[in-house]
Amino acid sequence: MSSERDLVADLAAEIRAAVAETAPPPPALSREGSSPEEEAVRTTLLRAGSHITPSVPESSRLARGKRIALRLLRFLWRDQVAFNTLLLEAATASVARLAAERETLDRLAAAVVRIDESLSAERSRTRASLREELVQWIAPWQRRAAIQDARLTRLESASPKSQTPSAAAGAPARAIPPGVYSLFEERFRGSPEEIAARQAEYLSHLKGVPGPVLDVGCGRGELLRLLAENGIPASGVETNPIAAAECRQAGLAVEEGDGLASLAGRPGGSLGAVVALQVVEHWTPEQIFVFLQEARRTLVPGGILIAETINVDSISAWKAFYLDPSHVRPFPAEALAFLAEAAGFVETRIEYRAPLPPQERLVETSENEAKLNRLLFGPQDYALIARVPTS
Amino acid sequence: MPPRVLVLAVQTPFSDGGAERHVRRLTEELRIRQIEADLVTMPLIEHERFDLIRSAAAWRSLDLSEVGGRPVDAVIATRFPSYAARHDNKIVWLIHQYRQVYDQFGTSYSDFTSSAEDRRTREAIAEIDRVGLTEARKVFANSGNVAARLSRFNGISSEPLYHPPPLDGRYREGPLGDYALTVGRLDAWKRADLPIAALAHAPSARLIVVGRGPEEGRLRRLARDTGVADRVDWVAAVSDEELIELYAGARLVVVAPANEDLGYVPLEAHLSGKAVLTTEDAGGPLEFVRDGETGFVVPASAEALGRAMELAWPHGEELAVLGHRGRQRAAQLSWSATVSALLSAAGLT
Repeated sequence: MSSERDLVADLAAEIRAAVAETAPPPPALSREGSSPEEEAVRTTLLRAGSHITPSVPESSRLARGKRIALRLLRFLWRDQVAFNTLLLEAATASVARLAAERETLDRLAAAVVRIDESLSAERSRTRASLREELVQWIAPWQRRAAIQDARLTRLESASPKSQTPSAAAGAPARAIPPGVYSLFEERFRGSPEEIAARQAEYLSHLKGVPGPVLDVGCGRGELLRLLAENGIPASGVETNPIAAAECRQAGLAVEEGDGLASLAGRPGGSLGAVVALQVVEHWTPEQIFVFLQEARRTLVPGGILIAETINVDSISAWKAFYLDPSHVRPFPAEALAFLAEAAGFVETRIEYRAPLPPQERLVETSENEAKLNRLLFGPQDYALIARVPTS
Repeated sequence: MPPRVLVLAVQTPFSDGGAERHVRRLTEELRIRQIEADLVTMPLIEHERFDLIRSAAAWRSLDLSEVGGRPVDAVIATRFPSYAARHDNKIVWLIHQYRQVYDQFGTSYSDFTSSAEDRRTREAIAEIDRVGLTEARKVFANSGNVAARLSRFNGISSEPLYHPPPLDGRYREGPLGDYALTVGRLDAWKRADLPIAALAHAPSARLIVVGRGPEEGRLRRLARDTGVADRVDWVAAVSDEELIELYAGARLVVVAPANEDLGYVPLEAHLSGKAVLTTEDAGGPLEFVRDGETGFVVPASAEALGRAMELAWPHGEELAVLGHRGRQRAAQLSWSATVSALLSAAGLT
């Protein structure tokens, strides 16, 4: 049986090979994708093809005689037959040409659709990326505009009384108006996102403190926002009315006023943590000591103090100190720690922050370069962290 | 009381062709299974285009739900437009659609053009098919080819249901003879010209052409013009017994129709143990003739057919193996399986 199969398979293969060499059969009349109208024209031409010469149907009477007569009279319509043939050929060629053109058109139309699709996809991608860039670019301008709006509002609502010379003389306070200071901060302090990223380092100290957190000089409220996101109860005090209003608008518990006065007004042992970031450099040493004493009084046992300021040990940081016109005095870490201990804090320690990136420091190949780096290009800030004794 | 079933068929008056015999046979097969069956026929008039629609309307207006005071349990409709008839339990066994408006449209086999009248007629026929077929409880098709067309042109799915050829049970195997056989009415679409012209490429082969029809004169001229007339024998009319004899003694059977619905010839050839040579566009025959399995399938050209014939001619042993395999397959068809499928679709088993 298997040999029979082999023989049959061999024969079939031989035949397949042989017929593959033959001319292909004439193409089917019906073409892919052609319309009924095209088909109909083709049908008509095909039928016309059988009428090029006069013919006598097989079934007609006296068919034989009629055919002989036709053959004898053939010379009469020789020209007509030639004309018929030529006309039919021309028509057939035109139809084929039309079909080819239609196919080209179909292909072009499909290509146009594809191009259109890819263009519209490209357009929506471009639009999305432009929108993103625009949002990033516009954010600082929106913040600045908000500050300017607040300045205007303050100016317009200020009572004429407060502008009297006596009032101005009685309050030496700040020479720089809060609106201008807000614009200054916006320009030099860094974007709220950058500040928040830097301040997030304090979260580990503030988780689980034995009472609410008070942020003295909370500015635009970056830390308060972080604390709220982490479920840590907190409030803030801010002297700049524009910044304080902005915080309150954002739903943060911020009191407008002087930090020292606010602390002094609070009952003893009511806070879990007192935080003052970039604040003590705005104060005189006397004010700083008052702050430390008030913090010690208002904190519960075990409560902590965090005070961040510019690192005086690093000369490159001095520029930042002098940049801010409201700064009073750079305050060295050892002095701050000493005063904190004098005010009754224990476990005082200094943490250095905001190191300069390597490309802004000397390449250290020797001990001298290391010393120079410490002196010139050390960390830009330090934080004093201290605790109220538990007993 | 035996169930009552009516077979609905289209009649061609004064003619007794294969279609008429087929529906009579179906009725007979129902009767011998204790079904009270009868045949309802009406002519399909094609004088004018609108006659087609009128004929469909005539079928539509027939109420066959009961006859003589007793209900009719089911009707089995066959050809266009018999399935336009209304019945709650209508089964369609589609022999073929009105092909001139479907697959034959745009070919030389259809005289429909894109004139307004022709377009309206085509649309109307498609609508008649949609309504008549989708309301049926089940649609069978005569072959996979007919089912595929119905799905392609009308989006209607159907199940192919085959049946044995007319002389079922009487075909017999005989010794491998020295002639190829082609059988069928000599219509243009049956393309008897292909096997005749193929002889020019098959010097070893002889051919017997069985049948008559409008193409006969042209075919005879073709045989003369291609110089093969001395190797062609013409047999106009044969009795059943003579036909069985011709099949039994053939070397190989050639069938080259253009997209036939089903075609009995390959089945008859296989039941007579013969290999079949056919063309890639033959349609229904391809459901039984498999290249290298039960015969050969080649491109539809005289040259391809001729080369295949010439190469196969000396290989009697292989031809016998192919024919034998074809017989195994064709012998699986039976009227009992066909009729039970119809009756079970009608819920009458």
